[in-house]
Amino acid sequence: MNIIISNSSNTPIYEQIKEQIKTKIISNELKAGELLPSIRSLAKDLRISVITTKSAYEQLVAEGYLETVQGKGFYVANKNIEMMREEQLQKVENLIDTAVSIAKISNISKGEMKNMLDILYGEE
Amino acid sequence: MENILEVKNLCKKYKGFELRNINIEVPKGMIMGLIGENGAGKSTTIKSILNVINRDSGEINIFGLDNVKNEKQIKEDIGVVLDDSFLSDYLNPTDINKIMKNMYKTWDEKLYFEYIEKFNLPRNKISKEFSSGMKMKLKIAVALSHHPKLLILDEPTSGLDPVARNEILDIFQDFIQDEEHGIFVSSHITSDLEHIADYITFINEGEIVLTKTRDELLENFGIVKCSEEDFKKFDKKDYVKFKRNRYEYDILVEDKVEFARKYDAQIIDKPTIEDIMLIYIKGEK
Amino acid sequence: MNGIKGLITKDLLQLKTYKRTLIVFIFVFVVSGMQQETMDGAMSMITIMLILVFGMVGIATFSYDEMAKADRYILTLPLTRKEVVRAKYMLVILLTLVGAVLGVLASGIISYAMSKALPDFLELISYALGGILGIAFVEGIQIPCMYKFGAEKGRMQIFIVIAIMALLLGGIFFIGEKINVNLPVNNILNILTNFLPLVLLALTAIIYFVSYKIAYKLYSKKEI
Repeated sequence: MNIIISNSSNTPIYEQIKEQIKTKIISNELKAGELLPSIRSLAKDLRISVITTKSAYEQLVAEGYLETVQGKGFYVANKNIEMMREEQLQKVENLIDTAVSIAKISNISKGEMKNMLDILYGEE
Repeated sequence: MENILEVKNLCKKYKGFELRNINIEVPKGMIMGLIGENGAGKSTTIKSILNVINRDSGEINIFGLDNVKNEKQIKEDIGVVLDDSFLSDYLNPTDINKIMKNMYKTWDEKLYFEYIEKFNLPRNKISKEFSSGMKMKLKIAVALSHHPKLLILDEPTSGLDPVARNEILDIFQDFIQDEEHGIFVSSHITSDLEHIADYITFINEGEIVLTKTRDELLENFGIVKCSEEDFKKFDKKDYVKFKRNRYEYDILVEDKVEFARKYDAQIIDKPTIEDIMLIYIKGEK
Repeated sequence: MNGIKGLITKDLLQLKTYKRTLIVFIFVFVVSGMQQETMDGAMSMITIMLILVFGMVGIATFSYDEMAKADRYILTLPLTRKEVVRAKYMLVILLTLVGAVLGVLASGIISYAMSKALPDFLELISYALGGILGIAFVEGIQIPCMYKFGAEKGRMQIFIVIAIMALLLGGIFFIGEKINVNLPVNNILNILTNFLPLVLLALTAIIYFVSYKIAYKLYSKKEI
């Protein structure tokens, strides 16, 4: 599992860890029921404080991405994939919403927007 | 959470220096870093904890036991590294094993030589011929080889090159993999502690200035950079301290997100521990 | 007890670096002892000198400790201050005894080699005990001084203390002579000679014991 941390970033380190693990769960790189490294070994490997990894995991538990088994560690939760997709879809919608309102103000046409999407998706 | 080390209202007065009302708590499984300038009281605090000097008042508990009444029992389970003090420069690692196996009931000869091997220390050379990095590694090997539960380290990285420092930080994080363990480490090299310490206590002129988790300190605190006119708009209660520079003001705030919301569009830097220390020491309110 | 053994081991092991100097010293003293005119003189000289050398080696460990600032580290180990002081006295006494045994042996061997006769061992042991008393006296004052003032400063104190002692003793004799009091010196000496070894041993023991008590008292209050 790759987790990349930037110390100079303005995003707090626990946030960086949280987001990256979330991405891996959604993309199914981390599968439901999979055991995550312990907070201590992850802290050691990333050369960060135990409290930092702990708060990342705890927030992931709170958001339903991880489950904790007392004394055993943290597992990827059997979360409803549909629900997670729904969540992500919501995020995308919000961002597109922002993009569209900017486009409207600046007189950017629907066609131009579609072109942009095609390019971003890597299609001609 | 249970504390492995507790210092309550510790006071100690010397001629020209005073330690006032020191309070420190190190929870089990955690690394506590004690930072401060040279002469701020780091060593005096550590010496009091180790009972090599007599405190004037206050209470110190290690593993829940009084550090004076249960001194011998406690010291069986502590590993200590002192910056400038060790057995002798005229002993080699093999000699030291012969000595230490008489000192600790739980001395682990095999483990000790594993560390000696791992650190690439020559077994039969006296430590006078070691570099300062090698000497420090020897002290750390000795401190770890009786399976201690608590490490107390006074400036364990001073005088080390970055590579050696990195190795040593690795060892500390290895040690803390056991949740029953704890580390209390003092350093004036704050960047070492910035990464691995879970808690940071800052001592200045014999008093504790602040104790925070590393994340609170580094993710929440911010340094606002602004002009004099802007500075005048800020309410005194919204910042900790400020420092007047030639071209700008540096203002330390406890919650950068909140501050940004209130005063809108300011340049707020993510501080290092050193930045925070500097403004605390040199800044005004 | 184990801790005491550890501390003594530490002092003995670090004396390894002293080994060569020690051998040279012993050689010089043995040779210079042999320059004495009488065999008796030679033997007493060799014995006493070896005791002195080993006694001073014990004192030298204080300087090693000071160089490494070892006191502070040692007190972080599971040891009491009492054990730390006790270990030092045990080491010093042990070294003095080694010096005495070596001295007596060396004298015996030299005497046998040169005159094909064994020396009077009883007399040799008396010399040795005299030497031990002498060094005990020096160490008895010096060790507490070093605990109080540190090895470097403590070394200066010893000269002052000995000078004062000498002045006091000299003064007493001087005054005694002036006012013509007939000190029963001869009588006392006669009695002493009859029980000499015992008296010497008892005095040595008292000096070490009192000195140890004082040293512990000083060390228990010391801020390291």
